[in-house]
Amino acid sequence: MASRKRTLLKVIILGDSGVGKTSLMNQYVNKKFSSQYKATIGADFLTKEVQVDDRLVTMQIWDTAGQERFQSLGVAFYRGADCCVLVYDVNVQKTFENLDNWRDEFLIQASPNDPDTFPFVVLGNKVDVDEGRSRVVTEKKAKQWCTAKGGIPYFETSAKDDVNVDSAFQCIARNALKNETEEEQYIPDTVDMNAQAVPKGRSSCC
Amino acid sequence: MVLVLCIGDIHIPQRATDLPAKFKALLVPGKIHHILCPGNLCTQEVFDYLKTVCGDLHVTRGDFDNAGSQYPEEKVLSLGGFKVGLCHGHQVVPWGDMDALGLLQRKLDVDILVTGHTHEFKASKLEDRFLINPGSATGAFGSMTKASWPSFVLMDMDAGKATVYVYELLNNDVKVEKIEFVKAPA
Amino acid sequence: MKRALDDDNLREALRYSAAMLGELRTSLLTPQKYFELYMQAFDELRHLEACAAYFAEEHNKGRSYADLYELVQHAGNVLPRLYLLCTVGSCFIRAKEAHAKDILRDLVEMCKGVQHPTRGLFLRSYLCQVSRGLLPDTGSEYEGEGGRISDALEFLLLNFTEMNKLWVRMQHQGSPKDRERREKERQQLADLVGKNLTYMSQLEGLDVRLYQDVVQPRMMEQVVSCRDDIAQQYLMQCVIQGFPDECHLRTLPALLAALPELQAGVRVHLVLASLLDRLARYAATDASVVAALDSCDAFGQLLGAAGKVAAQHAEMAGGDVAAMFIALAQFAAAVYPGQLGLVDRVLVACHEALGERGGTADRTRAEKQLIALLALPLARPDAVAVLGLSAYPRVMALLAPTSRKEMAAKIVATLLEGDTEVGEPAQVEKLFDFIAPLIADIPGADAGQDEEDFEEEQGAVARLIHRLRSPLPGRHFAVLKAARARLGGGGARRLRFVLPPIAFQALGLVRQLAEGGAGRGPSSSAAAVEDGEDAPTAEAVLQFVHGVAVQLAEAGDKPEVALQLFLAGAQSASEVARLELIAYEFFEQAFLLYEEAIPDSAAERTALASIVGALQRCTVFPPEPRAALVHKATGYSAKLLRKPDQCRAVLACSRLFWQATPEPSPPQDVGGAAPQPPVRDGERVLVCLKRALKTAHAAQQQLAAALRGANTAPASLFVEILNHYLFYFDQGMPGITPSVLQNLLELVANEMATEPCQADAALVAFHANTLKHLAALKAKGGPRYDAIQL
Repeated sequence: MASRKRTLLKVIILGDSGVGKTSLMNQYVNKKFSSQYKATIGADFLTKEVQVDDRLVTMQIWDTAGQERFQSLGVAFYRGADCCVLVYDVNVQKTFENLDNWRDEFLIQASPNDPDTFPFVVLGNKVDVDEGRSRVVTEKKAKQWCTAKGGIPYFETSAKDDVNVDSAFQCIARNALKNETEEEQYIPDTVDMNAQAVPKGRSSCC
Repeated sequence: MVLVLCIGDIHIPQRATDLPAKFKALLVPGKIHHILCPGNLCTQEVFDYLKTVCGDLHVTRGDFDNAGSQYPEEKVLSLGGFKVGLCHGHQVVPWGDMDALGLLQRKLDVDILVTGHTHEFKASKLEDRFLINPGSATGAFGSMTKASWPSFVLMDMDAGKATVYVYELLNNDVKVEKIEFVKAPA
Repeated sequence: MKRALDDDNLREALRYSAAMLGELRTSLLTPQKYFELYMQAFDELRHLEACAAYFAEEHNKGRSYADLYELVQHAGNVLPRLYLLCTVGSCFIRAKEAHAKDILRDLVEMCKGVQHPTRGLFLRSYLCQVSRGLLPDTGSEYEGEGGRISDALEFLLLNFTEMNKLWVRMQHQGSPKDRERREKERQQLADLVGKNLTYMSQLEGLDVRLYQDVVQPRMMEQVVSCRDDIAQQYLMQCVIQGFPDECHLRTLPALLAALPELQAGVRVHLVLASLLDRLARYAATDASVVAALDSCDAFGQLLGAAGKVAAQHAEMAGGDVAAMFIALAQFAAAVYPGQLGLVDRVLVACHEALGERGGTADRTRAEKQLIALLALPLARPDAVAVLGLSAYPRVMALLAPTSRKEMAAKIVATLLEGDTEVGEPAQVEKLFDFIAPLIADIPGADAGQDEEDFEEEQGAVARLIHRLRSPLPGRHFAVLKAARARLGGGGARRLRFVLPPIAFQALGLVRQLAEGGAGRGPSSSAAAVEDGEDAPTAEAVLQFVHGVAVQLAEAGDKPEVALQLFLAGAQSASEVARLELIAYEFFEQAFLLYEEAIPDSAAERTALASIVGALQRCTVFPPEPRAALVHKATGYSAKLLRKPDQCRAVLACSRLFWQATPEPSPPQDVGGAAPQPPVRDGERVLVCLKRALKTAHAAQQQLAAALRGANTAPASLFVEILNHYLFYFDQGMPGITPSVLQNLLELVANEMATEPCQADAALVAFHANTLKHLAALKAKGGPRYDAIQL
């Protein structure tokens, strides 16, 4: 029953407030777009079935709050991620500059086995705005950054006009899958039950 | 090569708000070797400002400088192969008079005499010697001139040869003129 | 569990799942740790869900979701049971075997079975999460029989309300000493509650009307009625950030009405700032937004709300009140950049709100905020427009004296940075209202200020005076008069800073009037018409200068400066305006000061040189008055303390009798007296020269008597005198014959031959230079020099 062995890929989308994380996910998953800004509160995901080569995988795409004040519970959901998507707005310099922070924060919190090879994908969003006239971060600059970080795949996207969204997520899925297969299965993470002397009990289901 | 800035009769705050921005942009720190100010700096703030342009600042006392200030009435320096005298000039009657300034020049035994007070740029040769008045750096009101505009002088001195650059602000444009002066053989 | 799933044993899988979910019953974890545990359980449940779906698919005929839904109800503990129910319920909906609205209503009700706050919040959060995408939203595949958008909203609103209740209740559980820890935990749980709002805002079917009619009223009702500081603070931010701008614009009155209703502990200024920030960004996207804001008088509403909040919360800190008005001023600047009137309204409201508080507890923070508020309009490119803000000085007056003064200094510095000119008397008056703490003493403002600070501060005011000007002479004069009226009352110690600039401005005006010609040039007459006030006469302006100088003299602080003002006035009166009587009056005043007030010999020397220099230039005086003035000046030179000073002064005085021929200039009709011919009085020159010689001799004898040592100062005087003789001889002045000159040359040569003089290199050089000069004169001087032996 090979077909039943579905693979679940966990993807985290990070980036500053207002760069279009929710919009990219909505465009990809629901083919819908709204130009109105609505802050995302807390973190949440959508799932999407996606075919990668001959495999059908389920992508669990985590949309996160760009505003710090709506991240009250911390970032425990980073754990077990298979790919991290870093998004910035090509029209706002600061959002590009902050990619470093988001990447570092992710690596610290998610603590993947091998930080150097953990798959990231960078999306430069909102290329549609003002027909590109108001953009301040050049493609070259962004690619330089990606190269410097070990050859991160880079896409220029428009969630509004659905430009490059599918191909970006294809790439994300592919990279996530590569990561996923490398991880051992059936070994659950253990939870530190605080420093308190708690009888550990059956630590998990296995 | 020695760069000497001659700048005086600034008269802030009695007669002017500030040095012209275009002059300040020119007077970048680190380029000038000596500053000669014939007088009427008037405030410590201006003194401090000039100090930032160049630490080697020489000032003589103008008629509007605080009577209690430590500035001397006259000063003589050796710069770039020249003997240079500095004096405000309100003491020299008639004011701005060549003959009267000549007397002072003979007395100080200087090749170049830098004075102020008239608020009008003037560079002239007197017998074998040279007289320079850099005018008022703020173009301050002066009793002796019909109109005055901001000016200062930069001297490039090298082995007895001086190139004098006059910077004048006319209609908000900086104009520069050049005058050469060679020291007479001793 | 996954193995059980893999083995197709769903019942086993459910059993394992329930056991695993049992772990979530712990009460020992902090919310963040509990979240980690929840995430693990969550991941496992994903697998269960995926397999249940597959299972149902494969065994569709044998077993329906309804059975499964029943099956999981057998789990022993309520918490695992509800998690499993939610999981299976979501599969149930997805399979469309039941109506979404029914299952959702069922689940949201059943979740009431968990009343422990942390566990309940996570459970309900899970419910939301798994039902996401399954709501009967408009356009969704679950719409129709499964329900409508209103059902989806109802589900989320209900869940939100229940979660908020759990969250608020936490505050009242446990002992009071754990309050701090509890509040921290509550803060961490906030997003679980807030996420309901994100789900609502992302519904396709939520339009502005539904938001206005249903969502916003229900949310605000819950927010206000829960009467909980933390919840209100957080949820207000969620509402503002989580829903689109358009919704806020439409429901502004209701949103603002909630603000004064919030608990005293809520930092309303942050909420308001957040809203204003959003609206300002929104306005920047499209001009129609500004029109929409205007049509509902959004600004008025916002301002009113801020006032109401301040009025209803007497306990609100002054700094927070000020912060609200800062946000409003920033909003006005961002949305209506040109409209300073709005800023003025903000200031009026701020003054009203803060004025009633008087002494606030957080004095320094309130001060800081007020200063920041007042600094805002100064950041504009046309900072001078700040003078149009009528309420500005009133708000300044709320500051403590020292801060008020700092603010005033900031205004001055800002105006100095730009190149704005203040050219209206009324504006000048206003400016002085704004900077009042600098131009007169106010009690308490000068604490700890040293002399240097004071000089710097007054120097800035003095510099600013040069910006008070108009190209129209009449107005310029009016401006100067206004400035003097205000600044003149600032007390003696300020006058020496502020009066000279006024005087020099006025002297500049005298020159402008004289050059324009009395009503001659077309430009000046045009100016006069435009002016609406007649251009003043040069005489009037000079009288004004006189008054200013007299005031400074009477203040007694810096007599030498006052003396210089009189001399500058005298020269303007004489050489520019050609008004003899006024010029004379100026000189008399200068002399009076010289005689009575000059403090020391150095100042005396400078003052006398200035008097002689100024008088020497003047050509307006007929012989008699001139003689009177000259007589006095020469008299002073004889009274100087030191002989060398006397000698030099009398040499300078000699030039009073020997004026240069004026350079030819085009005749100017300035309405004053024509210049007198240059004075050439050889006899009087000679008297001066002889007195100089006598003084030099006296100095020599005095020195000889006092000390036996060598002093070459008198010899230097002789060389100086020789130079003067050379000058007059070269000028062809009668009375200096070649033999007189020859005698003097010999006298000097004899002096110079003495040993001390020869040892004085500077003196030797002076002498040599003088002889060289004589040689040069002789070379071009003609036969008169023939008799001179070098």
